[in-house]
Amino acid sequence: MSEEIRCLLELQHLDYMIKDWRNTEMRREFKKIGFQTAEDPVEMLLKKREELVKKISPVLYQMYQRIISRYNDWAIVPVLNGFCGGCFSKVPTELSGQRGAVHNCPNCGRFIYWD
Amino acid sequence: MNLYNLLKPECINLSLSARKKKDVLLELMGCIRKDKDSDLLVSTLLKREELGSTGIGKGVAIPHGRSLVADKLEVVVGRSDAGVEFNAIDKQPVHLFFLIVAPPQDPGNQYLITLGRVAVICQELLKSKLYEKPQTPEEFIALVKEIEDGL
Ligand SMILES: [Zn+2]
Repeated sequence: MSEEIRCLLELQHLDYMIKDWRNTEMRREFKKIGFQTAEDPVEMLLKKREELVKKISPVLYQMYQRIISRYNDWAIVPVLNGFCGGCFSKVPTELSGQRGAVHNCPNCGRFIYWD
Repeated sequence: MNLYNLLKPECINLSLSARKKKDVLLELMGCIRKDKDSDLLVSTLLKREELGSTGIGKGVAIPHGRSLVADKLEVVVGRSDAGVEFNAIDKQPVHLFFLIVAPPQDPGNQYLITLGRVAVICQELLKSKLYEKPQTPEEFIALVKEIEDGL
């Protein structure tokens, strides 16, 4: 897995977490369970996000933002048995020859990576 | 919902060997994934811990996170006789772990419901240190079922 893919995956995971911490129902449940939490977890996560974004090229980051706003689920998906994990269409075999590089699914445009 | 339905013997480790936070998360994750993705998930779990420990005191921790490497909700149980330094709310070592991993898309809000359920069951398991009794994963599941049947 290339460093760029790894950063994009980390960004995706961080964005899931930010979404959860912005959810008031979730925050309420966390409190009820007894998790002790930083005063402003979302702010902390956004700072981490900023740091992470610095490691990603602006072109890829813009692409990521575009994909996320379009699908509102995930921007980066694994290729599973030759199929895109996002739209389940077949990924051309010639792409798998260059696994280290960053690729987009020709059908849905999401970033794809090989497990 | 019942928690015992989500428990699988292969996802219960009653003799954790790790003594530190990251190591124990890796050891717990090892029950569900052994590839490099588990590393990514552990880094997510650690970020979550930085917001505030999921060690809720009395020797219990409920680390949790969402990931696209999880295709369904998974619960892993771990028990450590020696205890793990987990920066818990009461600063005590953690002996019982419930790790919850959920996919990002979760229409029925199963993630949140499971977290709440685990917290309730943990309180019961703490009573007279019930969680120390099971000798096998199957016995642990039976104990959780017994608790849930009595609730
Ligand atoms: Zn696709």
